[in-house]
Amino acid sequence: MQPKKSRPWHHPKFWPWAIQFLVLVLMGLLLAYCGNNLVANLQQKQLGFGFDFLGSQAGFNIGETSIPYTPTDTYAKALRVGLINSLRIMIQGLVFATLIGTGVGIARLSSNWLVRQLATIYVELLRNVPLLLQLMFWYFAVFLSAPPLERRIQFIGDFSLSQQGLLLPNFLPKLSLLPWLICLGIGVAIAQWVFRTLLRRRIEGQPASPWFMAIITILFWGCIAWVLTKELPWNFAWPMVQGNKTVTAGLLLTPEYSAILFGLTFYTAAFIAEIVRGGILSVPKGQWEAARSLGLPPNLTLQKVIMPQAMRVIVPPLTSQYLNLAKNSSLAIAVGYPDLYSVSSTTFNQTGRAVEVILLLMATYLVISLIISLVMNLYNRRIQIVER
Amino acid sequence: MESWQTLLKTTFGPSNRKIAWIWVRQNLLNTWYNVLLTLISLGIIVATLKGLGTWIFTQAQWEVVVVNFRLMVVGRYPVEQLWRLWLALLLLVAVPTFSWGTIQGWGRRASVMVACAGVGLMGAMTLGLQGFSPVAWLALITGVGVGAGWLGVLIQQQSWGKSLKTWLPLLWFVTFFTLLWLIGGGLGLTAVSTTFWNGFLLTLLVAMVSIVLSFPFGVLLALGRQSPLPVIRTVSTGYIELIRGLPLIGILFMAQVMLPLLLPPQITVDQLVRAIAGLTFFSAAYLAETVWAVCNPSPRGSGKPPEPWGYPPPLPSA
Repeated sequence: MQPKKSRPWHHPKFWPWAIQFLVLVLMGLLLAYCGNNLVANLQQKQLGFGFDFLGSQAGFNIGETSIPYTPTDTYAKALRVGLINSLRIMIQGLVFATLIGTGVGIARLSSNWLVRQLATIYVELLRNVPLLLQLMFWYFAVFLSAPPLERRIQFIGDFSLSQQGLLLPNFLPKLSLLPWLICLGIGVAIAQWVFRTLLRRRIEGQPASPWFMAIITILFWGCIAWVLTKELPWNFAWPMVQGNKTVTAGLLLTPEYSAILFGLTFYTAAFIAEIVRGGILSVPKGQWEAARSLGLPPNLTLQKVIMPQAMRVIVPPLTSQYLNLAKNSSLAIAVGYPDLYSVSSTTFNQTGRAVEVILLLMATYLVISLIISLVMNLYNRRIQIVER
Repeated sequence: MESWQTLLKTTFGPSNRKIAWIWVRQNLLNTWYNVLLTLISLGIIVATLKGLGTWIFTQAQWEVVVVNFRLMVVGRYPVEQLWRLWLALLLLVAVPTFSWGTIQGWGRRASVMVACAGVGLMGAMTLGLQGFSPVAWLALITGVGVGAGWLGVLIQQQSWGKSLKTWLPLLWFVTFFTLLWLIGGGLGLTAVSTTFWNGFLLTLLVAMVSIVLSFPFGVLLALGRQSPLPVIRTVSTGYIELIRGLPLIGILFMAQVMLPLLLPPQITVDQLVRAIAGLTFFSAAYLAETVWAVCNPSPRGSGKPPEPWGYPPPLPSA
């Protein structure tokens, strides 16, 4: 028998490298082709490439601004206003969606039949209707068809809903907020330590009331802050409407803002509810029984045995729901809320700078997504089981 | 937590009033906070039903829906060409029922389901078409659906019909292009520009095409993501993460604006094609993540992930 001749393509590493090389070359060719076309097309339309247009005057008005802005400001400023508006909706949406979602998720496991059915209807209804449609519903059917300010729907006093929007009580922070925060920070830190110590004692079977002592600790530090500053850290403004015409006090959420906040929050909460329910159900029943047979009371069982295990299942899908919420906030353009996407779209329409605007938009959303997943992954790593 | 169907069945017998009361006490009133929750829930239900009822029966103007029904279903599609859509719909009912009949035999549930779906769809469409009796259309559509299923079963029962199953994908392939031809025209039919493909017709079409197109693309990406070849793995992972970090509306915007800029000026891409391309790029990344998660069930702490599906790798690892 003749030994096989060794050819280069008989080497075990030849084909893998050849294929990768081929893929790289093909991708390079594709990129070159697209880039070439891009340059040609831009030249034909007599558009250069560069971000200098950001410095020129925007010339359009923005309905809702958190920082001072006039149409004479630059595009960069307009985009910043849009970004702040986007972040505002994302952060508030995340907080409220988590709260409502957790509540509904637990309601789906309630021992009360009626509550369980209601929660199921909520989840199924909101998960199966497109978000865009829900936004339209909140905007046109709820907030825009609300009665005018004279005939506003009053919940408590002037805490009301009208065509102007939702009028809420407001907290305006004062300068003394800083000492308050410092005192409360110390208080919370000590309370946590107290809570842990007492909880361990409680689990070991000695009488102790960790919750009570922790709350007392925080209240004590609150009193110290009160003694130091002699005032509350905020001005509480109860909503007021003068002469049925003008809003004089309180926080007025515009119909656009309310629509996108309500729509995003309730939509995402339905998904979060299912994640929470699945997480709690994923803990085997034996864990409840084992904890009970060790003599742990039900609340401690939930807190110390069930939740830590459920969180491991909850956090990864929760992260992707947070990402979805952040990305879905771009649908705000449908109800006319000037978020980042909406402002970018106007900028594109006025300047025709497609490539630059898209690059900016992509980079911003990617950075936001990355930050959310980074934070959630760090948290996830903290709560996972350490394996050997 | 018993299933409520069995509970209802046992509860509402005439002699079971006592059991009903026990059920209410156990499921609605067992503790003080459950009494409170029940009352609150009842309040919510009553308020919602009352509001909804008043709106539906006194305030809502349903004639708007009736008048604009054709607009919602087929949009501005030319009225004199509507028969083509009807033909397309007949085909859309006949081919699935035929395939089902061929594969499943007389699976009762299957044929009933397909027929019902077809009837529902047609019922909606029928209202939009003037000059035809809705009942006749319903009968025709149901007849075609059931008939095609019957034909499929008959063929399947023949000895030569067994091998027919392997040819079904070809049938679907041909059907798809026939549908496009019926809707869009050309080759002897009056051409209808894509700007007139609106409404529910467009929803169905775009969804169908992008679901089908994103599937192979997504599976390829998933395979690429777990490839031992670093270049392919990096490219796939990069693509998936990039798309998943962006909002859909942004990707559609990109497809509308950037696609024409990236192609040579003499090639013009139809708006509908651009939208489908954007949707396909988007859903492929999500599909890839799903596929990847399914075929990469590496248990934590087990070291090397197992080979997907138990097959040896297609290429020796680099």
